[in-house]
Amino acid sequence: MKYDYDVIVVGAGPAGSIAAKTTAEAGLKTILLEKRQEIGTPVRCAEATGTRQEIGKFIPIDDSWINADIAAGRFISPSGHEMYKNAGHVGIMLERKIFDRALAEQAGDFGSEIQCRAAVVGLTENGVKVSSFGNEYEITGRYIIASDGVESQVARFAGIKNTMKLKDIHSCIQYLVRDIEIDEECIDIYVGNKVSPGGYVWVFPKGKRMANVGLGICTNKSKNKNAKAYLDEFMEKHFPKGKIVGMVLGAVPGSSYVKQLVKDNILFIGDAARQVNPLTGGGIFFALEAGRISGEVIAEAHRKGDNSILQNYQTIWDKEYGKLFSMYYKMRKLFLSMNDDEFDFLVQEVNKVASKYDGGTNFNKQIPEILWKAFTKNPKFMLKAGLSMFK
Amino acid sequence: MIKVDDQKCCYCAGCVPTCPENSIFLWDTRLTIDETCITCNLCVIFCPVSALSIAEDEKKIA
Ligand SMILES: Cc1cc2nc3c(=O)[nH]c(=O)nc-3n(C[C@H](O)[C@H](O)[C@H](O)COP(=O)(O)OP(=O)(O)OC[C@H]3O[C@@H](n4cnc5c(N)ncnc54)[C@H](O)[C@@H]3O)c2cc1C
Ligand code: SF4
Ligand code: SF4
Repeated sequence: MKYDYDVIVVGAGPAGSIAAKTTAEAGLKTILLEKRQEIGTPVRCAEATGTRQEIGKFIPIDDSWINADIAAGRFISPSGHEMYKNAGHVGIMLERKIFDRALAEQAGDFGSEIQCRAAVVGLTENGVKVSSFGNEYEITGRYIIASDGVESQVARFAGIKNTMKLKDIHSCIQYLVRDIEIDEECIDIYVGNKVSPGGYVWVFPKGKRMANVGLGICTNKSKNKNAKAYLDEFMEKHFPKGKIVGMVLGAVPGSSYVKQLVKDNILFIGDAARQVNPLTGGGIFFALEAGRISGEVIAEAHRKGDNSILQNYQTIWDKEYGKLFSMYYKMRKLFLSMNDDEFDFLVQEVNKVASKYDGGTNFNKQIPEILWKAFTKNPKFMLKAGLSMFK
Repeated sequence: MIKVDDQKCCYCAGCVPTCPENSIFLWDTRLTIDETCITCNLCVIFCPVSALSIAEDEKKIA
């Protein structure tokens, strides 16, 4: 069988673009298919991600897609207790519109073909069915990478049930707000059932007097009130004079990643595989990682002519991130069970514990440890925590 | 059937993964819901701006 391409990548988000770059770089004939007419817009993201060093591994750092450097985080409890931590350089704020385009262009630079406004609407025996400008046609390929985001259809076409239960998904909305007082290098997180049940409010700096102000709720926990109503309330209270110059909506998985990352010659990556930190909702870094790993595994399978090697993607991912995800998933379950008094308690305790940590690039990995230390300060709470995790 | 209020919908595709029947598809900026919909209401509950609703005539039957 002669295939049109070695690799068909469905979806030009961060995951797909890095996957396409990786396979094209390895010499595989690659095509990146994107449903939208323009890559990267509309944005569905709060745009906070890892350090310059972490992101620089995937694409040369360019200040045109960086809005701010994050050095600190502040958690605000329902009664206004604060925990503040300056940890040096912990991450960057992206301009996703430009970042996503740059990633796709990079894939192109390494030899991948790109097609916009080309939606994959089905799988065929040897490839995918594409719909573009009223035409439907088949593109054949040896390997398929499903990087089609949270709405992933490819998984469903392949017979994998990836429906998300309402308890496992965050309903999100965000405003881009101008002319407000913010700390330009600090991300603020507000927790509590009144401000954002089952999720949190974020205020992420986007430069001078400008921030992404948004929230995600678990619709199981919100009674007859949509995410927008919560955000409007928050804006009224905290930034009544802020000017809203943009709006973002979307779904963020809170479920940990799907069990099956590979089916036959199809590899699921990024949001399509729910590779999003279930507690924080951070998915950009994992999308990039999954793009790289899946691309490398395909290149190896192709080189050796052995499709069983594709399973390595699953093995590598489980080994690298399995534990981290299951821990964060358990923590999310605990968060979902907490009342506002408990949030107050937690923020105060974390404040005491966190001061002993130095922060830095390892801070992300230290967060679970810090939380555990805080939890164990209150035996009753600890018991509840324990129980909620095994439910 | 589910109705999409296109004055409210910001085509975020967030409702798509909540659908157990895979009835929803987003064509760039246009959200479509096909006849496989079983009116389970999950997408309606999910939408951050309440752009979805069960069509009036079906409410009466239910
Ligand atoms: C409100 C919100 C805030 C967030 N905040 C953060 C944050 O601060 N930090 C962070 O790290 N993460 C955040 N995330 C998560 C992050 O945006 C995602 O994890 C990340 O974009 C996943 O990348 P991806 O490449 O897997 O998917 P996407 O970026 O969603 O890309 C998928 C692409 O596939 C295309 N596609 C879909 N279906 C088809 C089809 N049938 N055919 C062809 N193309 C198709 C889509 O159009 C899209 O371009 C947030 C998400 C939301 C919704
Ligand atoms: S979740 Fe709401 S805003 Fe988003 S695509 Fe669906 S109907 Fe539109
Ligand atoms: S009501 Fe249920 S079946 Fe119908 S589109 Fe919404 S989620 Fe799908």
